[in-house]
Amino acid sequence: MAEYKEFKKVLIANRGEIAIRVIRACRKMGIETVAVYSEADRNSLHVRYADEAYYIGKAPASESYLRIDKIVEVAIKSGCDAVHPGYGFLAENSEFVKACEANNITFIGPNTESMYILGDKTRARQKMMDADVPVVPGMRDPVESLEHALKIAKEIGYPIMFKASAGGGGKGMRLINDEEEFKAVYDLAKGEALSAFGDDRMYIEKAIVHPRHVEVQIARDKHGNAIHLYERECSIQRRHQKVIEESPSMAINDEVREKMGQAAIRAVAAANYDSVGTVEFLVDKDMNFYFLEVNTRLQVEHPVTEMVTGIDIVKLQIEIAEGKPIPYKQEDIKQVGHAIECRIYAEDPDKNFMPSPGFITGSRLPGGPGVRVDSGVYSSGEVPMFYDPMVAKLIVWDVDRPNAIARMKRALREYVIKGIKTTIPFHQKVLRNENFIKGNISTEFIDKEVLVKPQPRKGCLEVAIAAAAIKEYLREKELRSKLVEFKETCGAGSPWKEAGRRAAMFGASFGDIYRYST
Amino acid sequence: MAYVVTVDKVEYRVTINEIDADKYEVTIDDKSYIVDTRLSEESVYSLIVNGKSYEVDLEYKEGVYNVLTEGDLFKITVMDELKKKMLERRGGGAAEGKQVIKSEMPGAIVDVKVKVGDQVKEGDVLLILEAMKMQNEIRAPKDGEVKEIFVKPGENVEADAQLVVIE
Repeated sequence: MAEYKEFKKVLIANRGEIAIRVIRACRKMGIETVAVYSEADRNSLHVRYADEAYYIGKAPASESYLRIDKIVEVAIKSGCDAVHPGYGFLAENSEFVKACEANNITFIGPNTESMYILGDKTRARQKMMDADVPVVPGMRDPVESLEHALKIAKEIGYPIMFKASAGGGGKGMRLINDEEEFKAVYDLAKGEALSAFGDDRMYIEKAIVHPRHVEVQIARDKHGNAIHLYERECSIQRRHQKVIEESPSMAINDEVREKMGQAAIRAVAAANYDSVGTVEFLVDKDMNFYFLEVNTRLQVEHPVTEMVTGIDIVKLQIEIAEGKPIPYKQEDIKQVGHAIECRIYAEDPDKNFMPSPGFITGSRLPGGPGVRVDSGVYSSGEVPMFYDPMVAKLIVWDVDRPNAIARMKRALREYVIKGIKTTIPFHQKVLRNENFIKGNISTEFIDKEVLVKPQPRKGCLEVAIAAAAIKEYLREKELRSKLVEFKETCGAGSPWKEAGRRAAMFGASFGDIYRYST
Repeated sequence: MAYVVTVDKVEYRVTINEIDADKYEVTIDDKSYIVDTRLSEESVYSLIVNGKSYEVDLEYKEGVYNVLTEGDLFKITVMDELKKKMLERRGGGAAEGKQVIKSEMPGAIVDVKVKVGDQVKEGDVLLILEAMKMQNEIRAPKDGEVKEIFVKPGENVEADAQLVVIE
């Protein structure tokens, strides 16, 4: 066996549910854990679950969880031999990796060289083409003239996207279906780009119609052994943010699944990658797949893969960082049953997903067969306003997709988080949407299907009315009793002033007080 | 007690009769239900209605009951018949006049888009509030003139803080 070390103590440079997930893996492996926390997180769960915890700064992430100097200093002082970055914050920051290495602390993640290659989209695209991994057909060089543009478009095949070089994030692009349309809008599109970005350079890319986002979980060790852990379907997104993930994907068959797995392994091998990671692809309706990017970190949605393969991905990631070879061969990895994950955000789905930080006043977790909750919150804990609004992930496993959906529905029904608003009700709506149930989804599903069309209600109107009326009855009864108490105790002084004070205190109006006093 | 309950602009006649501790006879438009209620987790109620078990989440805010059940939100107003009649006689326009826009959540004011004296239309962006890495547009709930602004860019605000007055 190759030479390796075994970590004794690991610092987790993160917070919330992912810090807890990493602590859980470490504890199982007999590794001591060190938590770091900001001013807003003294009461957070990750502080309680770790063996040691150190304060690193004020609440804003730029003064705490993004402070490379402070985190490395804590790692040195507490005698850590490795640092786990989680996701977000410093997980893909090569400066952080260098700072760790300079102090002889292992960064649990890929080497800086592969992070550099894969971190830039243009560099990564070239690398992938060399490694025979399919990319979205097109060219990144700007078109020179209409004739030139028409020639390229013909080679690639319509429909195409005509994109502004200076655009991005969904802006400055136009879908073009045929040559006639291209001729008609060529000048117009360039003019728009000029006025929007001050730059009229445009390039052509093949349009992927109703794309699905399918990604492959991979693991590659320092000895060049690589496996894939099959795919995750992540098409259910809102504002380019994933909200529901599943494995397996209904968009592909076993043949394509195998091809994507091999392509993903070639993709990370091309960059000499040495950790767990994710290769993202777009898949069109004919099951063609195109490389999107590599996420060089542990991902939020890793639990769905853990549920269908039975492999502890965080443990595997730590072992790879220790220099151990991957203990599995590709043929050992089986994808069994179906898993779904719902991300629970502290947002109000009935108020345009407005963030809803605050104190959790009550919490009841779902349980029972096949249910897993990765949560960062607890009853009477706080969701600070400074960080990502994701508070928990609810994951279920069952023998197939219809059963997994049924199980997720019942788990969502059991889940209670009070004090803040969460996206639990929103997930309930998605899970009973007919097109979701049929697997008829794309990355546009939430925006075009769930948020636009009124969703049929399942809740019972009579029950809601009865609940509201009983509550009103009780509220009035309480007001009356407080008024009696007030009359008995506050006889003296100006009755108007007193009534005003009392009214403010009980949230009642003068009218109410008047009504009950007469 | 007799109430007029309004949901999605439809009115229902509801009576409540307390028959035992936590137990009520409720009629909704002449249909009768026996309802047994228990409270858990602050605002989550267990209701047993004619033997069927339901769980609802109930919140009272500014005269409206927000009732969540099975992931569906019902916005419900409950008024006793007397009060409703009085309001109707007065010509009850609640949306008229001065309106104070409050912060729904704690956060930081990123930008204030209006100044005192501006005429705004319903849906116009008044200011931008950042919380949880997201920028949220706070919009005018009605047409009117900006009478007062309580916040400046860069300022942190608590939930329920007064932001702008529109009249």
